Amino acid sequence: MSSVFVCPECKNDLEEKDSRYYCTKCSHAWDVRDGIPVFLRQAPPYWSELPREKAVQLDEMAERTGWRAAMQKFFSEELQHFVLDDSRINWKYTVESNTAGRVLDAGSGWGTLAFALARDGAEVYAFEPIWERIRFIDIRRRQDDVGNFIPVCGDLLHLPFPDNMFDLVILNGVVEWLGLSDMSVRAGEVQKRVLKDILRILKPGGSVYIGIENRFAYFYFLGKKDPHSGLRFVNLMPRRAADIYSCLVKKQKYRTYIYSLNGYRDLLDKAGFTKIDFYTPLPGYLNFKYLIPLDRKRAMVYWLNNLISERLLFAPSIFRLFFSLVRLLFKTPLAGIAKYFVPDFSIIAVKKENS
Amino acid sequence: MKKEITGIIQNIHQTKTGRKPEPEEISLLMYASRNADINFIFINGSTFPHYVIKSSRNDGLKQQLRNEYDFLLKIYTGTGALLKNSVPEPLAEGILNNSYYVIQSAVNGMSLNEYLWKQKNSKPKIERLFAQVTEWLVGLHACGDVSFPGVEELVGHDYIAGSLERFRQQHGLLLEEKRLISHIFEKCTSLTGIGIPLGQRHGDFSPWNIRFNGRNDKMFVLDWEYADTSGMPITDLLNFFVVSQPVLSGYEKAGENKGSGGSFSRYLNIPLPELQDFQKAFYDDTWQARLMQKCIVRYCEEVGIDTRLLDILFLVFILDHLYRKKDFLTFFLQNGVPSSLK
Repeated sequence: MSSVFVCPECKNDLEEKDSRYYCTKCSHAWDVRDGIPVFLRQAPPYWSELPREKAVQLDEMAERTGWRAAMQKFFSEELQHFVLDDSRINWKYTVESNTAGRVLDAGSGWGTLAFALARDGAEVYAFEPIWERIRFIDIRRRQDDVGNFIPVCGDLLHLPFPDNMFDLVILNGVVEWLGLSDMSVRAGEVQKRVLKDILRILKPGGSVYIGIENRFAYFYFLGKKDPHSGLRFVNLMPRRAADIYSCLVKKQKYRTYIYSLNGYRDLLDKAGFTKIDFYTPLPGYLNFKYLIPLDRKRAMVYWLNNLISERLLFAPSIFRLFFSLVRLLFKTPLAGIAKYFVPDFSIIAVKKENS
Repeated sequence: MKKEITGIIQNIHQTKTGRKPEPEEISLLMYASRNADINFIFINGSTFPHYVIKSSRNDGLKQQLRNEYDFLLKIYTGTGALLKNSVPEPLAEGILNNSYYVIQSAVNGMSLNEYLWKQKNSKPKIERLFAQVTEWLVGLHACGDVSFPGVEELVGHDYIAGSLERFRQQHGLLLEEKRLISHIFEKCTSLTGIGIPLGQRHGDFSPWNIRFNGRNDKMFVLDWEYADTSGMPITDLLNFFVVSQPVLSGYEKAGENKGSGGSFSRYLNIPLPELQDFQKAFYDDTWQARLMQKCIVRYCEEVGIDTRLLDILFLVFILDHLYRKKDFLTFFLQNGVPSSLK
């Protein structure tokens, strides 16, 4: 029986037989484990908020007593809030394409965004390389009886989806890690290659959503550590210098590239996307309350003067002073540069209609 | 979703102004509030947003948004000109991707919270503001249907019974508390022939839901999700005084740390009032407390409430407002109505 998937290696059709997928051309075979297609040639290095042993126990308990009970036992309160927080998909209002169409959540983690979009009516493919997490997602899907939801285990460098399949692809907190998936070429090259492949699987007019940090966020200039490498000032250095610095201090190469506003625009442009819109999610892209368009200075001024000011009345005076300075900045011609120093970006890029 | 939202806004803007904006002219600023996702819609060249879209997928919140839309429609189709000019205009409602949405005209101006903060030491300005707020609430009360049931009816009113029952289920009531509550009810039922007017109530009348235009002191009231037509409107006034306390006192609050937004996100929630705020609002001997007591007396005179019924009004207010915290009830039962209001 033919399947909706293609071979992640040669992109040819797959046939489903005896709970396995077979490539009709290169004869690769892919397992289906506990009902979840697994398109991995080898398991990636394990990464999660939970140690692997705990993650296995979480899945076992979720299967036995329900995913909510298991989550309460194994997740901290903060992580539970994070995993159940539907408002993390509120960037959906800024997406041009149909968010209730066919959606790929690439690097779906514990499934927050994927489940939230499925509840909006989308047909969602949750794509995740870590087996323990995708299994948890599948258990949650079964127990909550979510019909329009397909969990898939695989890695972003080898997408098992045919051309023009999705209305929307989500890359939330993913792009910066791609450089670690293939150490044989420059990290930026890996990122560009994946984005090109994302473009391939998007329908014409479809969108990619990227949630990611800003390389030149103001706090990096004040000495805040880069969250990926754990090094100070590393984002501000030229890549080669950052690499040497990381090798000296951390004994490993600097591969978790993040970019400036122009850097992301360039990356997406080179990958073939058109109409690239930038927003800043505040306080940060993982947990935001505000999403502000960066091409409209007046929207940012409105946020500063009307939305955030009253909320900071009760904050320590240092916060209020900081915002007063930002407000002053917006009264000068320097206002135009503020968008380059925001903490994070939410980026919406569109695939050309007639491509 | 942007395409659909843009289409709706284009049509609304064309109906209102005769000009259909291009999609590129429309941009949105999203804010995830506790009650709904709020999108502020800017049309090219504007300093302030033109429209506000509120939406929610959660069933309970959908109902609140419907309630707000219906209430605003009632105000707009009703006769209360005072209100009509001080609330957002309801423009459209519908369903989009399983979410219910309402579109309103945007209201601009400084939040009263911030206004109070800036003027907190200026007695004449605060006096004028509080008088204006009281006046506005009298106007809200007077607009539309108002019934004046007798006290007996009031005591047996489902509303009070419901409040008491909800509170009892949540906290339980001690024997002494039950005895004191019965005493208050008995005292009020003995005042035959005196009624408490019921009527329109905002339900979340707080400084952050009020916008003030500094130039002509025009007042706008937002967020009508909790509004109803058969509540006790004086609870709006009492609530306003309590929740104004944190800003009037001007204290720094540690804030709640929710999620992983870092230190900045800890300060994004306006603090909820605590017992000390309740005490400051009604019981302390400060000019602010005396001002509030004056406003309450004035409101009662204007609307026709016998101040001897303030016992029961305070009780209902505490049972059904103030986030149903038990320490407010305990304090009230121990101290009764502030002496200056008796």
